[in-house]
Amino acid sequence: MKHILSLAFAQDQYNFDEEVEFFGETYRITQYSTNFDIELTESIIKKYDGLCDVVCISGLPAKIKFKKGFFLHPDTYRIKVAAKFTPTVDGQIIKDVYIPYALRMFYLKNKPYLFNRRIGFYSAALQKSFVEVLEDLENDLVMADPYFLMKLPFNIYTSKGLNQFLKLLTPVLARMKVKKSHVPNFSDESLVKNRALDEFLSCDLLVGNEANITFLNLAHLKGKTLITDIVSEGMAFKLKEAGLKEALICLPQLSEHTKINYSILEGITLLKKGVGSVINDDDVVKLVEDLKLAPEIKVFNEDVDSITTFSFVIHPLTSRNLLMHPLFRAINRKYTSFFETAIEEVMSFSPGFFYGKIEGIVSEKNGKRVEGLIYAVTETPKKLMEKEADVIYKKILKLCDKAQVAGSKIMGLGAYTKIVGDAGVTIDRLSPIPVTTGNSLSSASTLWAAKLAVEKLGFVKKRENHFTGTVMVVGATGSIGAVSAKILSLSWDRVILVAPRAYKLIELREEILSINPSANIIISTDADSHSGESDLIITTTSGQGKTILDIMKVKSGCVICDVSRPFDISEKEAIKRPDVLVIASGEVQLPGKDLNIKIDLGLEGNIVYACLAETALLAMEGKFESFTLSRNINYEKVIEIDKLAKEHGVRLSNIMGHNGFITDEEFNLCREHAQNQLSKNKKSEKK
Amino acid sequence: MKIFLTGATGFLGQYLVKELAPHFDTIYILSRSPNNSIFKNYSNVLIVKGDITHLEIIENPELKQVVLSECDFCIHAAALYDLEAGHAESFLQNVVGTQNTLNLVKKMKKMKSFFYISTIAVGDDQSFFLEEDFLPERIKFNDYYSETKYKAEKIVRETRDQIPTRIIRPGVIIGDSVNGQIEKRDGPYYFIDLMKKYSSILKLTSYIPLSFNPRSKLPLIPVDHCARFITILILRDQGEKFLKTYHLISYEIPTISEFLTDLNTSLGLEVDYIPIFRNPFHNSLLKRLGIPSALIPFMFSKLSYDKSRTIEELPELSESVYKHYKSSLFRGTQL
Repeated sequence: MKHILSLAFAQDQYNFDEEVEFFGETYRITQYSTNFDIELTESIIKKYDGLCDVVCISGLPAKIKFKKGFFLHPDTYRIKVAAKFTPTVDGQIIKDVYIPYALRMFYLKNKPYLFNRRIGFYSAALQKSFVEVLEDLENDLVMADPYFLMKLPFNIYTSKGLNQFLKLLTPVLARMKVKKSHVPNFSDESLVKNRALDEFLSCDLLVGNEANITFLNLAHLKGKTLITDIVSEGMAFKLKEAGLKEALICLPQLSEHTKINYSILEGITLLKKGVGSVINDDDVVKLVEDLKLAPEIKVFNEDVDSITTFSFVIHPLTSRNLLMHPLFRAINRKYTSFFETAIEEVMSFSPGFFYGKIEGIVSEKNGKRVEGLIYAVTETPKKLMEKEADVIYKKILKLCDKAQVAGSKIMGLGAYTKIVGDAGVTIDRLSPIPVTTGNSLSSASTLWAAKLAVEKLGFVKKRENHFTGTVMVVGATGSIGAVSAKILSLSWDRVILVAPRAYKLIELREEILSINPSANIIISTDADSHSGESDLIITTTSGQGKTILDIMKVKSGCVICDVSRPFDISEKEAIKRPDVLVIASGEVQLPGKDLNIKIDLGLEGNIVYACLAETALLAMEGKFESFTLSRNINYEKVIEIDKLAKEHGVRLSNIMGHNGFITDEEFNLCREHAQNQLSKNKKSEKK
Repeated sequence: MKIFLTGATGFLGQYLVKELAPHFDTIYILSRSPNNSIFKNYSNVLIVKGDITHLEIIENPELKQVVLSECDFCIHAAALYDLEAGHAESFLQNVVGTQNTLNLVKKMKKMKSFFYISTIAVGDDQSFFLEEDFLPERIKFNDYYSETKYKAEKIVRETRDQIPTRIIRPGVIIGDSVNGQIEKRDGPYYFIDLMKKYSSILKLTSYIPLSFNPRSKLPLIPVDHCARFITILILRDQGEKFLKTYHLISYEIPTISEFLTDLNTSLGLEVDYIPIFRNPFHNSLLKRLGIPSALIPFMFSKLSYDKSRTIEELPELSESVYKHYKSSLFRGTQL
């Protein structure tokens, strides 16, 4: 059995002598915590020299590299050369190779976590391996080296500055002894005195290795996020007690083997390689691949009580809405029409502002409390479409910055703001927080509304959640149309796809058949030829008011779901056929007993726009990503958001028609008319 | 029965050998110098050359095998007891030595139980009560001796599942209860010697300001009592698998003010000691008079000691009473 001597230079009371099994082999590890005693460390190494197989030292001040050369503290050197026969390792090679790799890997999977954040280093000089990677990812760095090494009251912000500082400092550092008292202890009094430290502590993420943190007063970590190399058992307990929120641990696999740290791992690697060899970068890469090492987030204090915030941008739908602003309330109502255009023009120059809050959203799935911050831009739809897209982007991006400062994790684009330019892609790219347009839930909720309306009328027979009727999608090759067609093909017997270009329709049919091979799909370029057979018609065209469908040819008792804006079926046409139900969209309601919408969204009660609900849903699920962007809506995303909505309790509240909500009476009326019409038809057939 | 003993050449060790010799077939004694003449009177004592700070402890591998296969008990009494020793030295002897010994003990095949001699100084002097079977969490230490002994006891406690362990925490060990002999005059002897030295001057005054807490207890135990009790505990040991801790201090112990009154009577002084707060001037004065600064915190200790298990398993402890041996404690001064 191989014998490893481990010396924890920066630890105090962690001594043991045990046999540890590590990946199939047993090692005897003898550890002494020497508590910053150079003399003791050296004498123990000399005692064990030649008797054990490898000496692993942890917690020594690392080699500080800068542009031309490096600095190695004389005491570190003294210990590293103390053993004459036994090889000495300190885990530095593994740290240098693995940590940048681990952070990079983590970044690729969780981009927002490490991108464009403020990151504070206790001592960047001692954590060089972290600095380079994090600086590459466009993070703001705050390095507290001057305070940590010399108790000086300023911070460094670039690695260039750090190099200069270290170059100046090396002669002083070399003369300083490695002592506990030379390192600040972050006691409560010292935190008050130092402004540079306030800046450091206000960072989003703090970076420190265990040796640095272990002897600090940990109270300053309350509610913080820490990036660290390793967390031992004792340390984890301390961190939990100190109230640390979560930690990104680079080598969590070692937490299972509580006795093993970086230097012991390097020692084991050396032993495996054989006596007399030297570890190089390739060995570390092999080790990482063999053991499948990867970083991990460990949550220490899950704050259930805390509230997650999301943000949402809205804008006035008409210039009349602008007059609700307190500044314009004084205007006499007689003259409003006169002022309207002027106000619309003037107000569009105003920057975006915070409009109000939605409080008390509580998820039904995990009980998470969510709060919405609603921001507003002042452009009416007309102005939004008129103006240069860049101007609108800038306005919204400023709001995104505001939202981030206010603690929001995600931003939703409401109404016309998501149509501007490339539909959110540019905004998402430049925004500090993820952005979503909310279109997935919008289309999902429309389909919910259509389904509910068909069920309420009750003319289509159901067979185990499957409608035995025909559905027609007009404008099927558009983004909402395609998604609707795909989803409807799963629950309707027959789907008719209508669009002006036949070749696109054929493509879409192939696509649907690949998802659902048993679907019965008919394609057509003329809506009227099939409208008589359909029980549900969904129109999502960009016809700009042109007549696409002759409502007179539609079957009695049919539901027309008009998603297009402006409407394909105008109100006048809809009145012509009382036996046909025309619905516009579905509005949803948010979960939560004490839901309090403190602002006027133009809707009643708990009802909100579906795109706002999607943003809230993502916040409830903790899924802070750009869920829906651009004009294309992904079929899988709609299915996913539909599932999330069901779990978290976001439900369809009402079906909207041309003039607001459609009440049950209207449903009943429509049904009666349809029944009468149907019986008339039968009679005429008989005759 | 055979026993392995470390630290036999120390003050307590010599008494231990004397007590153990009649009861054991062979006593293996670890010593750095094998030609030690202290134990030549004993026929059943076998000196093994070795050093606890050395990884293998016993140099001779054959002898090591004999020790490992034959010993029924092991007492680890070796430690560096010097309040003025450096950290590195104390750590090597007390922590590294203990860890090495534990590793040796783990390999002993016939081992019934392992006796580890700790110290009462592991107790936190800021708290009020030191329990048996429990090691308080401590971060601050007054001296390296208590710090390293604390860490060593921590290691011993962590291996309790593997070895049936008995931790013995003796109090401040003073000289023989009969003749007052002591090897090293420290602890309370500093005061006795100091007062003796200046007794002629002190006779002229009636008040002395001294920084101490009059209610602090002095956990004394004469060395011969301590050795006898340990021997009794070994002989009575049933080899239970769980850990037991004993506090070996006299049944009745004096407070500091009682101790000083007795010191007065033994020297024929009539001085009132006025307790004052700890202050740097006084500390430096004491230091100049020859009392090490590490001793000062002991004079303010608030600790009292739990003895319930010890009394239960060792009723003889009630025979050790301060009143009976105080005359021999001060005897040196009476001359």
